[in-house]
Amino acid sequence: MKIEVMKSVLEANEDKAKEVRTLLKQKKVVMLNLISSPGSGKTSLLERTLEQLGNNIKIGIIEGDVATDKDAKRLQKYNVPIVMINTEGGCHLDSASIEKALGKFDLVNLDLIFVENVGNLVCPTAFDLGENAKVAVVSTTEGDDKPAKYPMLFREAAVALLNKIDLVEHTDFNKDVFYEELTKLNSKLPVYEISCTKNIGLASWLKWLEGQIN
Amino acid sequence: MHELSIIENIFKVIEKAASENDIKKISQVNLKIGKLQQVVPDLLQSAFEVVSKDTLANEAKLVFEEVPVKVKCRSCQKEFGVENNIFVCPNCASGELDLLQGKELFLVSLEGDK
Repeated sequence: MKIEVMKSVLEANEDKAKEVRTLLKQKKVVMLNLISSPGSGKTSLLERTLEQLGNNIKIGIIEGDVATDKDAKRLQKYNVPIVMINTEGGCHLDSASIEKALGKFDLVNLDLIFVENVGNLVCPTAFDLGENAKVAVVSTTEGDDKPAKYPMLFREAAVALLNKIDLVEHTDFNKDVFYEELTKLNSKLPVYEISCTKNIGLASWLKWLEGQIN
Repeated sequence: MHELSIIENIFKVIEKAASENDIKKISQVNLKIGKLQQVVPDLLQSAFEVVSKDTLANEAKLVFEEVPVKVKCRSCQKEFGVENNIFVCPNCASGELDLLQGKELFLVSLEGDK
């Protein structure tokens, strides 16, 4: 016999994501899902952002890591609440683990939560966490073909950051190719060129962030 | 890795649907997968074999249909298929498009015996 099911395979995740979204809306907290490859600079981005926004906006961090607490340790000195999710090898976070993590925050006293997803461009894009927006972080040292290879991320992201812009002349990263591919995929996507280590271009990112909160 | 987590999630839906319908043995699983999900068929098949091993779908065949990407232009309302990831309206050149299909990860149906 044949049984018609017609259900999303990610139904359980999507249902939980909806609950997370409702909870965050009630508590007036904005949650951003940072998605990138390993080593593109998500943690450095958070370091610079915390240094520059820390006093005005109350920030919490959810750190997704495959096996260690190294990223969480780097962020400890900023005195913001950090909840660590160790995926034990899992390649992405899901909405159930986010719901659990949110339970550990005092949400009433937060404006903004950054989720540092596991370094990977495929799975984190497919799993809705209940976030307000996805932030794609790529870097010049990874090459200019990320939009062409991972179209879904650049379709779904609300903003893209091109990090390590200070190194661009030492790489074979071709900005024309990068922007051409990106424009084909998502001509409305704002892209900010930044360097987290040299503190370049962060003002536009911070302005975008403030726009999300207000 | 992506394929494995998709299959693991599929099994949650399969098990629920099978128990609701009192199915004891599954012979075929039919999926619909949008092209944007970038699923590799061979990897999906091997992930299915691994995950189904000790379940009521251990002898089941996995069949999946790939759904092409289709969008609708917000400015001129034209509907068109997206090839080579070019999300630009061929009619009015706008990039403001709503996705109609291509992101699916659906369990369409199960075939099996009570």
